[in-house]
Amino acid sequence: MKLPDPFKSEQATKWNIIDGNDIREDRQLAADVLIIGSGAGGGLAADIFSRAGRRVILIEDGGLRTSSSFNLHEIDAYKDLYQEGMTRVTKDGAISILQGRTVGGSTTVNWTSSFRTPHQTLEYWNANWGTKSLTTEAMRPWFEIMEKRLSIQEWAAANANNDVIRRGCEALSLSWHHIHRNVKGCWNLGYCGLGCPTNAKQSMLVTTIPAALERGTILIHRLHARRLTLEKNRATGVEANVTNGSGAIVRIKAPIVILSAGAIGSPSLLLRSEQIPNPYQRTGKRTFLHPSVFSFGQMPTEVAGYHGAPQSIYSDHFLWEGGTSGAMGYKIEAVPMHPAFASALIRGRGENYRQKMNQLASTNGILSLLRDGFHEDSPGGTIELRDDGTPTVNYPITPYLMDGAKRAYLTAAEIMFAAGARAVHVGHFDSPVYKSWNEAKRGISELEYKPLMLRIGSAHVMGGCAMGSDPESSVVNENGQHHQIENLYVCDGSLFPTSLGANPQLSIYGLVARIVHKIIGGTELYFDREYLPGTVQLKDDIK
Amino acid sequence: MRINRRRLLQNGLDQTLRLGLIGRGLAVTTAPLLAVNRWLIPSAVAADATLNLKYIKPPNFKIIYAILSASLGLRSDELTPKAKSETILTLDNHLDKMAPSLRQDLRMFLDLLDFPISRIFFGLNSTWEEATPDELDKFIEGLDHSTINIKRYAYQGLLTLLQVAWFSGESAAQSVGYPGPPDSIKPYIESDREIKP
Ligand SMILES: Cc1cc2nc3c(=O)[nH]c(=O)nc-3n(C[C@H](O)[C@H](O)[C@H](O)COP(=O)(O)OP(=O)(O)OC[C@H]3O[C@@H](n4cnc5c(N)ncnc54)[C@H](O)[C@@H]3O)c2cc1C
Ligand code: SF4
Repeated sequence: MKLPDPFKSEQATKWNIIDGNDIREDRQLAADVLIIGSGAGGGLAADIFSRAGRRVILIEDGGLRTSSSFNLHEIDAYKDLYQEGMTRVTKDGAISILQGRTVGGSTTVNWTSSFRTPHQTLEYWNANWGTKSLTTEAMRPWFEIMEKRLSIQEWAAANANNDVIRRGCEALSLSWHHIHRNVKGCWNLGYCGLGCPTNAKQSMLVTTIPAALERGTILIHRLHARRLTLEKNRATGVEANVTNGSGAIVRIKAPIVILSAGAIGSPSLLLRSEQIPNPYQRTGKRTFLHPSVFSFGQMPTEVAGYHGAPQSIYSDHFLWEGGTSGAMGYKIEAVPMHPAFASALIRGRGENYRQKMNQLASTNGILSLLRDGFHEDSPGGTIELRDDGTPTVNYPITPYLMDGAKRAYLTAAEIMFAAGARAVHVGHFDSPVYKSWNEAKRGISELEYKPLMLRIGSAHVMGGCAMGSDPESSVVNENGQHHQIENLYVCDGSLFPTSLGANPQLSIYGLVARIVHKIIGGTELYFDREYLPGTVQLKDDIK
Repeated sequence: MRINRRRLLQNGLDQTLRLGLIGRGLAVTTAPLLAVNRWLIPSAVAADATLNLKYIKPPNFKIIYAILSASLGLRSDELTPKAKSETILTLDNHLDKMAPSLRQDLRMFLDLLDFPISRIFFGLNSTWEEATPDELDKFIEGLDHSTINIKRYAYQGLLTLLQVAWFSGESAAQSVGYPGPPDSIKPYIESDREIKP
């Protein structure tokens, strides 16, 4: 039996899709708009530009994998859909980085949680980076449109894994909320991170990219943008490599170049393009990760944290507690518990590890996402190029961050015990299985917080092409336009001057929708009527 | 010859820098080891013919099995020939996707663990064949607690790969109670799946 796959439909036979592996000789192509990277930013940009009648070429490093090939086997998904087969780490190995490398980018594998940019974050940027027009009020309509476009709605059916957060928070009188998700007809399977087999997830793979293809966009996948080309201070396009060993180079020219290769891909492409000015050395600086630490509660009954929507309850109780630039705040969410994935988050060795893993089915997983970039002791990382041109992130682990990690462990443990956990352990090599909150409180405080002892992960890479009004401290302006190259724009997560304090996809959608409308100009909104909520008044903003 | 040797040492040093050794006084210790290692164990050791491996070499197998069972607390009956070859294959497939420099680091770590001097440097005095479970446990504890970042970095990288490779195996996943995807979706997904090289 087969479920419908848009890329296997009758309609799809008319789409212009080229596999870079089929290109064996140099080729030259031209378009009105060249978009590099097909994730949250690139997929959406292709949709809007094509609606405005522009001829778009969208290129993607990863392959075209679609719902009918998503077999829900962890290892296949990690190997085929993630950057570096999900083995990407920061330069010192201390933080594992999860990013998609496939058509649809990270949206093809993300967990569907959708949050607007917190007002505290927008205000901080406004005050410190001069992004004057990005107020909560100005951004509201863009978020409303994108919420309609991607069916973003509150998800009330929390699985047992998420429900632990609700129960624990209620018992401790901490605030908690339901998460909004970009899904339509979701089967509540819980495999969003392995590629949604039902196409319920409204990722770029099944929304904006098919819409753009329907309007004549050319998609070239398995094509790696090596460097941007430049003439007389204008970007002229890209030189891209195929990976089939033929050595063929594809040159694409366009009067508008959009960088959407993600927060490691975009800055590293700029750094590889030595002709692109970088007068204040800001490119690839201030990379943020929402470093996340993991805690595990052994519950008295089955949790089956691998089944059901991965994230549906969150708590921001400790996110802004010390003020925007005080001690590191953290957001609390659930982490899905598929065995291979969980096996890498759970720490320990020998029998201790084995016993922790044996409890998988009744183990609750909480991730605490640390809000980095708002404090001078949280300067973020730097994108560096290795000798072979591949990027790596040099991210310093500061005592400030480790202090956040320790407090986050303590909060998670307290929530779990309050929700009825029999025992708790945290993602640290030395963590025993704590039998009571008192024991955990003491034990967690006494752990040694040094890099590589605790598992730190990131699924949210941000920054590296920060927007701001001052070219000395940012790479692009608040309209995504490169400070030195006026026809070069950044449309992805690398825009953010700090982390967000919320999962990034909706922030990217809102900002990119606004930026692309600005580039096109005029006062028209390029969305179908059905996507425009009644309240939307955009004319003044996009003029 | 002198120059070549110096070049080789230089190469070894570059690698160790990439491994993050700089400034920790160890670059000097391991660089010659890496270089010597390349003289003695050339990368030309053939990959296992039956599994068609690209990166993992037969001398690495015993090390992988030993670390796997000691780190994950496996019982000896769990390491069946099938589970072993599936894990090795999965690992080898996965190495193909890694950034080349990380892959090189890992490959080198495995080679170093096979070479007596460097094996002792990393904390195991007995040979892999002779090491007792207790010695292996101490060896691993030494790695994950080392004050030397390079040791934690190398072990951590290998361990994560081994964990993911092991627990993506069907019997390992079942052994910790994972029932696979919900029944509602099973008729629609490919169930027969062979791990191919
Ligand atoms: C496992 C996981 C779970 C997540 N869960 C959530 C969630 O629940 N909610 C949420 O808001 N966010 C989540 N995120 C994060 C969110 O998906 C990303 O922040 C967002 O997709 C980033 O958008 P982007 O456009 O910056 O980059 P991406 O979506 O990563 O897209 C960039 C694309 O560019 C391609 N590329 C890179 N370099 C090149 C090159 N040189 N040439 C050509 N193409 C290139 C990449 O292959 C990639 O496909 C999750 C991410 C992951 C990995
Ligand atoms: S829970 Fe399942 S059906 Fe729903 S979006 Fe995720 S993978 Fe798709």
